[in-house]
Amino acid sequence: MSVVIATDKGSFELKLDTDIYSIEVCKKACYALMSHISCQLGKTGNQITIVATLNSDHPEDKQQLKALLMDELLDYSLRETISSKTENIRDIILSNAFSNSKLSG
Amino acid sequence: MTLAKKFHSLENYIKVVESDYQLLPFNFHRMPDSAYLCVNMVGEYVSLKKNELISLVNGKIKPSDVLYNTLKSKHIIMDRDSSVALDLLALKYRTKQNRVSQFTSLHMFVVTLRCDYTCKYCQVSRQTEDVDTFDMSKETALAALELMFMSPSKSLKIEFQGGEPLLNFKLIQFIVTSALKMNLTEKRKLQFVITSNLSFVDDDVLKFCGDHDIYLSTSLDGPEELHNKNRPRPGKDGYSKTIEGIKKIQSHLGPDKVSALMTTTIGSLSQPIEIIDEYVRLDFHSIFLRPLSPYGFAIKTKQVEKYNIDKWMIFYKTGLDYIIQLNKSGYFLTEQYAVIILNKIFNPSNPGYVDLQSPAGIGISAVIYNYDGDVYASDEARMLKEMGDETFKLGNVFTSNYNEIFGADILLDSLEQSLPESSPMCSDCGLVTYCGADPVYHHATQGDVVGKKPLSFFCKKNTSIIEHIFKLLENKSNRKILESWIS
Repeated sequence: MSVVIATDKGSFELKLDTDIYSIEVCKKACYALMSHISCQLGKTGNQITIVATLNSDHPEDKQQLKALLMDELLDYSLRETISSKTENIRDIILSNAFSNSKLSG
Repeated sequence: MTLAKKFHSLENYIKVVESDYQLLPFNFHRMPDSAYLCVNMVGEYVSLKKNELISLVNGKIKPSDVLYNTLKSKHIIMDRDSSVALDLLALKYRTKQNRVSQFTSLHMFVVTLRCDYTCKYCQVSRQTEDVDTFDMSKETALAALELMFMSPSKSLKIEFQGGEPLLNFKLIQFIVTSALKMNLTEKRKLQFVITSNLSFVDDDVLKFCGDHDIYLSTSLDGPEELHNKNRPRPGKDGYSKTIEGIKKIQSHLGPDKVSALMTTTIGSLSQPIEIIDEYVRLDFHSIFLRPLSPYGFAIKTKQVEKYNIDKWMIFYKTGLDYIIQLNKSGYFLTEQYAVIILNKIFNPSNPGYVDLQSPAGIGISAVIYNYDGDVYASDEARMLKEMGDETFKLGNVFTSNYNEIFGADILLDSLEQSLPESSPMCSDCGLVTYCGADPVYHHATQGDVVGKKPLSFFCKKNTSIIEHIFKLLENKSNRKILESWIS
């Protein structure tokens, strides 16, 4: 992540490096926080920009929500890594599980 | 005599090789105390600190670390010594999903819409007692029974619903005797339950229920004032009639033949202890702490808008803590939603609770035959119909065959779309193995069978309850009590 820039009292902006966070991870993190913030995502070159607008009228929540969004970004990034490292094994387990049923193709 | 040679130390047998393990599929959930609960695809779990999780994912846990063997035994990782891990996981996963192969086991019959109560949170459109046009006919009942026996399930449970089903007791008798007759050749395991307010439990009802091993399930919202306020009956005697009915059944049929459910209204929120004490006073050993469902009169009278998830969770946690204290003081009492979650955490098979399954339980675990022969995917789907929304109508017992009803596009599409393992947010959630899908609820509240989970009461409720149960499990004496509920 590069710089965090405050835009106005009800919103904040994150600029993220695509080598660290994929666009899917950014979308999922924003989705998870939709009850708190509305996000607009943009991508230029190897930079993703998230402009988050607070849903509440409490600007004091801003720092907390910014921290929460960064936590979500890290969590979803870890999940993406786990998923890519275990995808083949998951397929093997599922095909084993249903190998004697009519569900296997 | 001592051994001539001592064994080498443990480290001697462990190959010190970094990153020599394979991650197995798992999700994680960040708990309120910032611990990371890692759960594999069959529900085995381990709690990690953030730095431990990052080390795990980056292949930095060493075989000499204490954590290594824990992760291995919980099937979060495997190495060259654990070649059976995949077979074990496959077997456990298959066991978890086994109920799907059994298909529909719960068949609900709305024998009448008539009711003697005027509950403001009622989820169906009650009719006055004397309007028998809202009664199910024998022909409809027989056609529904024929459909029921086409289900491949070895166990079939018939649940009589209303209105107040005992207002059409003759039809209940007809259905029970007809089902038993048909079962002479079908040879299924049959069970019968009447969900009733117990106003009309008399000697005939008791004898018939006793003769045919029929269970009764009732509603008891708490102490007299609260119960009568939530469940008004002309004459204001709902509470005394319910208590009278419960005691009659307990003494004539046995204490295990009657159970009760409560529904949480705004008036209940301040009384969790009093509500639970009412159940103890009646010698019940289980209670189901349930929030309001967003259907029927609960919507029309705006009951569901009167409290939010935070208020309900305070009620639930206070109640659950009190129930655990009662157990510690020697009175065995379970909370049924916690039991469902605990079974999902600790037992290999799925507890089969219709509203918390993946795929969802609508149609494939439960189905409801309305008084007029229309078939709905769940009790809630029938409630929606009473509000003018027929989205989850699957067919009619006279005009649709089995394949048309259980292969209805709306059913199959809803099941596929709402599958938690592929739904937004759920697919990445560490608690998904303990949770489920409720497409009818999300259709009713958000107009979409998948639902936006960050805005969903269903998601917040289940997340909060599961988090709380894991918190309770950290305490040894609490854990002993909770484990006793599922042993």
